[in-house]
Amino acid sequence: MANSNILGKYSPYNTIIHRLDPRFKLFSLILLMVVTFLPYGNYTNRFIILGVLTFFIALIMIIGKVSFRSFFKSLSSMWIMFIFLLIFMFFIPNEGKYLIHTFENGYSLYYDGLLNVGHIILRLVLMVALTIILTSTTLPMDITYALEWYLTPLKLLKFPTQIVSLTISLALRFIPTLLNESNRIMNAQKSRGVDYNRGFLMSKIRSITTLIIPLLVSCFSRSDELAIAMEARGYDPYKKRSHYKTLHFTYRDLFAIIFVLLLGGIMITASIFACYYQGCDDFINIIFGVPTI
Amino acid sequence: MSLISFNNISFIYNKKDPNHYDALKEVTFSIEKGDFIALVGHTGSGKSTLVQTLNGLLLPTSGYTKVLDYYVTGDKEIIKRLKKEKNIKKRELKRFSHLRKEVGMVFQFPEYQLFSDTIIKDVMFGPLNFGLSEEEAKKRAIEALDEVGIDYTYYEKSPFEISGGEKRRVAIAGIIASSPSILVLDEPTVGLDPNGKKEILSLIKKIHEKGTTIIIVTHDMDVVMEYASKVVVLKDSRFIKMVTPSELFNSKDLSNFSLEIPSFYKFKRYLADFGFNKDITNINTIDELVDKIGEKYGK
Repeated sequence: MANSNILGKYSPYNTIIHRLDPRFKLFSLILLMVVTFLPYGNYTNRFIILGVLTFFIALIMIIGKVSFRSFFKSLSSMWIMFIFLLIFMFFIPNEGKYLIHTFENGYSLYYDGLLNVGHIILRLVLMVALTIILTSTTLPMDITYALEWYLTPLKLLKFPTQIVSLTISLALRFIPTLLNESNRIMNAQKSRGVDYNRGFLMSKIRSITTLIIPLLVSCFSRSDELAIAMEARGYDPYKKRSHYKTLHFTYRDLFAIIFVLLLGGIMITASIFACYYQGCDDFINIIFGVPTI
Repeated sequence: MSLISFNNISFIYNKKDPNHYDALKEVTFSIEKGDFIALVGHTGSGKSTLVQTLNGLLLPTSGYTKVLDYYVTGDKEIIKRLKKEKNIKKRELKRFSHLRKEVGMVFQFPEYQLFSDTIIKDVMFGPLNFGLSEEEAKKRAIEALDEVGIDYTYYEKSPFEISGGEKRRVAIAGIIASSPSILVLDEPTVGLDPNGKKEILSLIKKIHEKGTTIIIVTHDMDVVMEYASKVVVLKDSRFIKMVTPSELFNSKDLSNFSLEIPSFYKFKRYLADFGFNKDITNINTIDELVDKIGEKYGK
């Protein structure tokens, strides 16, 4: 239960990546994700571009001391998806340019399917890597600040950005607390003879209720107490708020942003050229990288 | 042959992580049948971790805990050795159901474990899990509720609509309904008013008198002094000593373990400091002390 952190958790080091501005990190995460999912024409181009991206992302992971162990751990929960992809893209009859083998009944396998699977898996792995870089080098609170900063334009439309960001930060804040709590309740119920790992559907549902109900009860009482505590200290959602930590842009961020923009720019240009010369006009093609048939 | 023995157990949280943490280091001692053990030590000294190895909620990373006939261990060497010498299979070492019936465990704030729609059902839950029939479980539940002083008018009420002290008593009833031979309590009196505290403690005493071995984790030295037959002191994840309460409180190194002195012993120290000239080092009850003071002033 306690290690169900699929998107990684913060690791308290003090590297360059950790010290970068969270707003910038959020921006570059999105930019680099877009870049990994752009179409780059034929397979040679795609794999060269993804190779370059993999190199840079691995470099950032090493600089930021991101734990490769937790990275592979979060990938391990995706293997079912990979198998599905393999079945859908490779074993289900489809067409392609490069034939591997045709069976007697006309069922044939193509290299294209295999390449496609590899391509999609690589993209997903890179996406997970990017997310893990963000979460393991940035405090959840900082991510919320960054989100709030990006939401500020909505204030013009009377959108209550500070309430949204407070809700997000409270939710993030209470994840570890609730994990602890559920661990404690599970231990108590295990001592009363509940076995959470064994049994079939019905008995599993029954044993889960012994966890869910106490957890809900304590959740409600906790949120009630929190609301009272906040009001007792004069919380008013519509007042202007200041932050304990203010974000500053430094020269470090400037260099980083130039680097990321350069990388992103080169990739986007490459994509435009590839599309111009090799053609990729399909929307599905852009999203999933499936070649037009 | 003792009832429970901790054999050189260590426990490491997040073993493979960079920020792993040793919660127990080479703890060795044993507990006899019928003991009333108080487990003391400052916060983070490993008390809760230690008791959780008793029913297999945590498996020691090295060494083993032996409870009744069960070996609780996560140490690969020891698992191999047990298999070779005693022919105990790895699968059997993972089967805790019977052990958990024998070792009742009351956690901090046990009222958080209540979940059923009626109190009687909640108390019956444990016995039913341990394979008793519906009628037998109900009989046990009624006995347990009697013991904690919850009468039949409560049976059909929801456990969420009664007071905090009552909730805690119902939760404890839920544990003792499975009639464990060892009862472990982790700070059972935290957050209760003085009356509630007294009720819980006298309940524990009553259970002890029936022959149940009690292990209680506590910060309250008055409880230790009044109820425990032996005190186990832990400090910085290590076992320090196992002594009787009076030995502990009369010893000079008490402050080393960040323990509070019970009011009675504080009073004794004040007496000595203010020049009370009778020998009171061996006096451990209030009555004896009153007699001694009376002697001095001739009453």
